Amino acid sequence: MRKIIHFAVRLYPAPWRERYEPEFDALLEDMNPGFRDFLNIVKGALLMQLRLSNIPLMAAVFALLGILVAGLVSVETPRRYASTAVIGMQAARPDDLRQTLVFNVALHVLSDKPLKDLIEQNGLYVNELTSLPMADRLKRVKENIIVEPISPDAFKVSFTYPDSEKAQRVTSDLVRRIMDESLYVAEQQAADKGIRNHMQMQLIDPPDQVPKGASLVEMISLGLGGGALTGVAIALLRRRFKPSH
Amino acid sequence: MTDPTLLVLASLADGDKHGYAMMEDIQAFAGVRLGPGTLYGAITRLEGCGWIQALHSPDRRRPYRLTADGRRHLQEELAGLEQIVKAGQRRLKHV
Repeated sequence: MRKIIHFAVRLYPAPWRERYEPEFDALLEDMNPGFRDFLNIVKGALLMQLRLSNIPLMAAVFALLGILVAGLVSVETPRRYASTAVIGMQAARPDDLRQTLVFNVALHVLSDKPLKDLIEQNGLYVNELTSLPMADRLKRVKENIIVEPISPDAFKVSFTYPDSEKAQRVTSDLVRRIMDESLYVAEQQAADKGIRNHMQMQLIDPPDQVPKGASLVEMISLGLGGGALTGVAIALLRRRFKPSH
Repeated sequence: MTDPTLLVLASLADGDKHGYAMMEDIQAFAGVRLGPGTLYGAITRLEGCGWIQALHSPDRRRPYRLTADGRRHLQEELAGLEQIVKAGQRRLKHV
C-alpha cells in the first residue's frame, strides 16, 4: 500500500509537491493510510491539477482515471456471448415461398408456449428473473433471438446470453425446431397438393460461441484515449477561463 | 458542518497544529475523518487565501496558525451557521 500511496502523491503538480510533499509524507507516516486514503489522495491530486492546469499531467491523470473506470466497468459488466448458426434451404419452389414458410415456422417456434418450454428446459435467466412474471422473461428471451434471411437460400439464427454454453445450446435447439417444423410443414403442404416434397434443409454453419461487446483490452484503450483527451480539454478550458486572481 | 476549510479553521482556533494533529482534532470535535488529500486541499486553499500561515519547524511536521484574517473569516462563517441553526430550531418547534 505504501508504494501505491507514494505513486498517488506523485500525481500532484510539481509546484505543490515542492511546497507540501515533506509534510504530506510526514502526515502519511503518522496515519498509516489505507485504500480509502489512496482514493482520497488521487482525488486531491486531480483537484490540485485542475487548479494548476498542467496539460500533460492532466492528460496523464485523466488517462489513468479512464483506465481505472474502463477496467471497473469491464469487470462489472457481465460478458455476453452470441451463438449464431446458418441454415441452408434447397427446393424447386420459388425463393419467396421458402422464406415465407421458414418465417411462419420461426414465428411459431418463437411464440409464447414453445419459448416457455425453451426457457424452462435450458434454465434461462434463473437467477435474474425468477421474481419476474413469465411475460417479462419471454420478452427478454425474444429480444435476444434473431432469425433473419441472409440470402434467398439461407437463414441466420442467433441467440445472445451471458453463458456461452447455454447460448450455444439454445441456438442448437432453435435450429433443430425450425428445421424439423419447416420440413414437416413442407411435407404436409406437398402431401395436400399430391406432389413430392423437394424442400431440403441443412446446417451450413453450426452454432458457435462469440463474445459480444468490447474486450478488456479494448475498454482499457478506450478509457486511456478518452481520459487523456478529457484531461487535455479540461486543462485548456481551465486555462481559458481561469480567473485573473 | 463538513466543509473541510471550515473544519481546519475551527481546529486551528485554539492553537497551532500540524496536519496529523488537525486530522485527529477534527475527528474528535466534529466526528469527521478528513482524508489526507482533502485535508491538504483545504490547507492549500486556506494558505492561498491568507487565512492560515505555515510556521517554521525543524521537523517535517510543519504546524499551521490561524491568521487574523482567518479568525475574522471563521467568526463570520460561524455567525452565519448560528443563524441557520437558530432558524432551523425555531421552525422545528413550530411543527
